[in-house]
Amino acid sequence: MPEALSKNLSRLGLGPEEPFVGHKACAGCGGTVALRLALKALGPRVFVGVPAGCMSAVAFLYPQMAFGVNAMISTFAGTASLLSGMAAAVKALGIRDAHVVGFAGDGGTADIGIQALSGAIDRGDRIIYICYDNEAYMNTGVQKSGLTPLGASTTTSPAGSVLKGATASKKDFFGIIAAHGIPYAATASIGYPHDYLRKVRKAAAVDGPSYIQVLAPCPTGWGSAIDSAGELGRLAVDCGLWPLREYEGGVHRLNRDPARFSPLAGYLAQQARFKHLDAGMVSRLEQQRDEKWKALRQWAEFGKQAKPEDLPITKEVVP
Amino acid sequence: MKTGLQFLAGNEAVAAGAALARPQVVAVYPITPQTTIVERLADWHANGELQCEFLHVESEHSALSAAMGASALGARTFTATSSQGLLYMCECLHYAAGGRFPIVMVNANRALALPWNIYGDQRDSLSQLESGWIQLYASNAQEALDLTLQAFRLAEDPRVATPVMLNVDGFALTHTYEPVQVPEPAQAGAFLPAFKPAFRMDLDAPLSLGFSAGPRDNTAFKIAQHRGCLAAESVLDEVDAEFARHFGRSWGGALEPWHVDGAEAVVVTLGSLSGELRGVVDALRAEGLKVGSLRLRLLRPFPAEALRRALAGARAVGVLEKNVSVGFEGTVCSQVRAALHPLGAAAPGVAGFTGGLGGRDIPAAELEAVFLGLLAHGGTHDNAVGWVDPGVRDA
Amino acid sequence: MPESRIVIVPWQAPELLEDYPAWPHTPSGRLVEGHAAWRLQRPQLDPSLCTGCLQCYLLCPDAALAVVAGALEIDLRLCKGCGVCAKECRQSAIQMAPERS
Repeated sequence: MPEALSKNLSRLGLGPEEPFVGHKACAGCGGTVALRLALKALGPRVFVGVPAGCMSAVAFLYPQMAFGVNAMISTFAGTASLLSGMAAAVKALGIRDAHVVGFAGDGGTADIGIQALSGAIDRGDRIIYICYDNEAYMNTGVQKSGLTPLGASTTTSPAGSVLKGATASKKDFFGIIAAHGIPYAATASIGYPHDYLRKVRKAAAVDGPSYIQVLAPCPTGWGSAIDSAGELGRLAVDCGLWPLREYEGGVHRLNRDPARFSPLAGYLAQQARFKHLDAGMVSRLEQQRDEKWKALRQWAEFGKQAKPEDLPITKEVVP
Repeated sequence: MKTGLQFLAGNEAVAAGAALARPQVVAVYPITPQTTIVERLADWHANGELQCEFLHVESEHSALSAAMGASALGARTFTATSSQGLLYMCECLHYAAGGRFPIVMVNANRALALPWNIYGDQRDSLSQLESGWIQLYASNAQEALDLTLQAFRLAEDPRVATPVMLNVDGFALTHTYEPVQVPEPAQAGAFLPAFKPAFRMDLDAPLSLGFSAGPRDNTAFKIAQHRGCLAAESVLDEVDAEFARHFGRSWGGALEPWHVDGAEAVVVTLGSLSGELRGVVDALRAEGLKVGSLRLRLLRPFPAEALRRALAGARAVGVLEKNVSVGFEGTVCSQVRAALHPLGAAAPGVAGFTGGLGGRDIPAAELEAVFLGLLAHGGTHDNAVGWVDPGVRDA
Repeated sequence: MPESRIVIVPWQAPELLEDYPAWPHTPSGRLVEGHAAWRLQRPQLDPSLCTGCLQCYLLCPDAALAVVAGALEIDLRLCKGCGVCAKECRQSAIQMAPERS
């Protein structure tokens, strides 16, 4: 066993340092897994920006500083702009071999933070932007965000007698980011940590902006068992609700394209935020999933077949 | 960039000052009437004269947020804004001040919507006095250039460690051409050497910035911030003296008095309006009236003690600002009143005057009337706003 | 390779202003307390069942699992008792047991 441990550890390429430890997140928090793994993969030469939200609220409570690396809380709307400023200083000061990385939630990314993120990608700033998506404004107590899935119950979109949870689907935020022609973007899930680590490393190698949207199950907000974050992270992928995909060099790619999805009900049943869904609603969610996958497969096929001259022009930024 | 004696608009002078400060990161976003500042910086950047990272941000909130990110790593940063843009970054103003980032920002004083108005008045910066920023007000193009350079030394002094907002009147100053001495880069570099940050994100000594401090600890940080801002008044005097040693001209720190000694009535103001006031003071003095004017160059920290010393001998003080705190009186008026209050029974009467809103010019005759009214009636015994040439009357 | 030891040093709020940081920035990584008191249950590892896959190590939100001298160790100062490690282990090498008071 010791040999297997050591062998697997060195295969992972992760050192013993824990750059994110001692935080006050809920026991079983999926978001902290996303941060911990990414920071271990990126190493100590980082400048980190984290907006108001769960990850900053639990990690910067004076005097307990859970980040062991350079880290700063940004304004809620200003994660990507803070990162842009840091990246500019890295260039101006001639700092080499360092990463500027941000970790923001779904609200801080797709809603209030969208403007700054769009600007940073447009400018071609060398930043790694990781959205830990727990599908609601969790830090303020589970309110609906632009990335809350259809039908999910939150405190501002509760399942009542007339309205049954969120009435709009998640924004196709990955599509929005890809439409910028970003050099590299990916979805990931903490339920598939090896895939996530691989993508963090790919993002780190990009000489420009990169984006990862990592599913970070929140047992507190989703109403699931305290030990369920990893399993839900896997089930979301396996039932097709969370496709693992990449956008690189103008090409969309599917990392997994299963012949069969695991039943939606198996994923939904574990979460109180979906317990009010009737069969009709579940069916609607299945239909939406299937339609989405049709499009995803078409995009992936185009990517496989396309000759370089057919590919959409990605963002041109003159260095 | 041409140095030596140049004929420059206020914004061009500011841009020259900013470029001479050798900022390492400049965040750029347009808004009338500051835009020509960043356009000039863009020209110099495009032809290689200004070596910096030039960030075309997508909003003013992002401008200041990016400036904080750069400052956090220890880079010298600069940005410029006005009016709606200043308000759009409001959250970041408080953030930067609380975070003690020595950012320098020039604000072109402009009216605030609604109604919409792009012309100069002072509501924008005065509405942000609570943000924690040091606020300086220039009155001419030379001063605007010089204070831009001084602002960096002031902000970066570890006893201060507070961002500085340099205010220049929209159009009246930003777009008015005057003769300006533009220093040589070597001269500017000798006065303002490379930025040595009091704190920074360092790969060898990682720092956590902008943490949360709860009920037990929060006050400690706010006391420290308050004292840092207060220290700016004396540090500004030091910086100005140092400036004089390098450039042969001095501006005089927090206050700019004009015939205040021996004056019975003094009008206090901000910015380029002081030029008009000086003309009126001279004319009235020629008629034998004992009047003077006083310009507040430094508004935050508020130079209360210096103001008391300057105005203790006056009988009546009028405070003239291009602003009103809707629902009460002029903001600067309230603060002057409060600063003079400790003089007790000997305090001069204070009257508040509001004029020039939305870029409306104030005729000299109206300014004369203000002085004559002060001499005749002393201060007011209430908080009524004295509207100066509002251009409209009641039935 | 030297192991990383996570240091926790208790702290008392300063009485003097000068003993506070001058600004709201402070060296990273300083921990003043662990979270053992949060636990209602604690993990127990049976090394004989462990295949070394490291899934528990990867998924622990609190970095409580570490490989020290070729063995898996659980840092009970950091463990909040969430049970993710036990849930993730396909060999049932980790079981959750009630936290004794």
